Amino acid sequence: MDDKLKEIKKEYESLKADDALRERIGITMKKEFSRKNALKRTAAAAACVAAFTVGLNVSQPFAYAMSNIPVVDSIVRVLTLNRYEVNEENYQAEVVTPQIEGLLDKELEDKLNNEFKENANSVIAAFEQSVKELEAEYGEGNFHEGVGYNYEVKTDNDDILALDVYVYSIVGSSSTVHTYYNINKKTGELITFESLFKEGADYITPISEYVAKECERRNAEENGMFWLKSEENPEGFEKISADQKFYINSDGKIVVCFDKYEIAAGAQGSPEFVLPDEVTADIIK
Amino acid sequence: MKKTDLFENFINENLDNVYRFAYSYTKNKEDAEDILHESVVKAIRSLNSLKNADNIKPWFYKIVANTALNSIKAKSKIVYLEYEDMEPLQISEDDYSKLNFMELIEKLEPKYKSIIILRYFENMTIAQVAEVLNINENTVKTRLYKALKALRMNAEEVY
Repeated sequence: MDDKLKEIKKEYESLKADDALRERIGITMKKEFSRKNALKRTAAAAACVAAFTVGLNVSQPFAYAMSNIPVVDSIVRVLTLNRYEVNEENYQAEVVTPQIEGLLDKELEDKLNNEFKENANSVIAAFEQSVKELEAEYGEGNFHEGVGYNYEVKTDNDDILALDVYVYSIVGSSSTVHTYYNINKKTGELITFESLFKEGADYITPISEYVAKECERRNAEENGMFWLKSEENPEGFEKISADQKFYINSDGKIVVCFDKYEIAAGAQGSPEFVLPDEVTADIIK
Repeated sequence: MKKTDLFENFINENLDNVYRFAYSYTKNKEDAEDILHESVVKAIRSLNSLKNADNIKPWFYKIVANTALNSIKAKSKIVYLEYEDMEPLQISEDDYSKLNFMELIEKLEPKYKSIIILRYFENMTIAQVAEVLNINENTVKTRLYKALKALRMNAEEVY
């Protein structure tokens, strides 16, 4: 090697990471590794929620039949059935189980409520198991763990009850997995994304185009951190899925939803896109 | 060995090196540390993309290089106005032979600088350099040759 280059190399090698950085990186690695484990468990719990939604969609024929029954008055409401809380210095959990009341379709109501209960129980079981394992591995007090299961009523008017039930992890950077339930109060039917649109209509393309454009706009105008698919970023957003997560807001508009980290950096939270009428005009039922 | 253990060992053993590499982009300690920190988080979250344990060095350097470039891009929007206030470089165009490391990273275009560092200071193969910088091997060779020429260094040992 050239002598001059050797000299420069020596100088390069005299640069060293200091102890504070070494410590900071060490702590970050520990945190990230335990977060990785926690996420695996949360994902397993979330998988139960996902499997459940598929089951519900199949029950549509029955829901359809219900729509022929005249509705006099429906007092549909959501209550908190149960609350499980753990608040230790290094591990926390908050599991809140919702309960729907007043659906005309009692079978659907029981099914939803049972699943809320089961999901909450599986989150609690996974959390307790995880605390036990982490304690065994790292010793008492030497780890962090946190999970939650909760709900939010997005819309509650004469027509629609939209419920967002979500599982979240609060270790390191928190992640959140949402499941939305949109109930047509008049028919007692659980609304699927596909059922919003005309039969056979390609709703994926126009909505995906709108979401991508809106991501670009937010990146440009609002310092957004959305990931769009490109050569450098093959994992970025390209299109919505056929059964995209959504809810109907109180203006009757469709709101397309994504989980945290799904299409953007964590700072964006769980992104939502309210679809303007002009996007849906040609495809909506 | 578990991937997480492999990664932790790699970082513990190579922290000085990856810090230097980040520094060559940021040219200051604080930013280099932040880049490194962010890169470690990114790396752990995408450990699945590390297919071959032997490949961990170029794999991680690639993450550092991309993180550094993104951060520089983001920051350049803000510091652009201060450009005119910057002190003129101490060395003149034709005096590369008296260059030291700080001046090398200050003076040389990023696309040349990183190649010199990876090839000669981090002892990577041409193929590994190509992987880190996401360019093909011939481009690496051409740029290396040009960089050494610009530095008035013996270019015969390029390959």
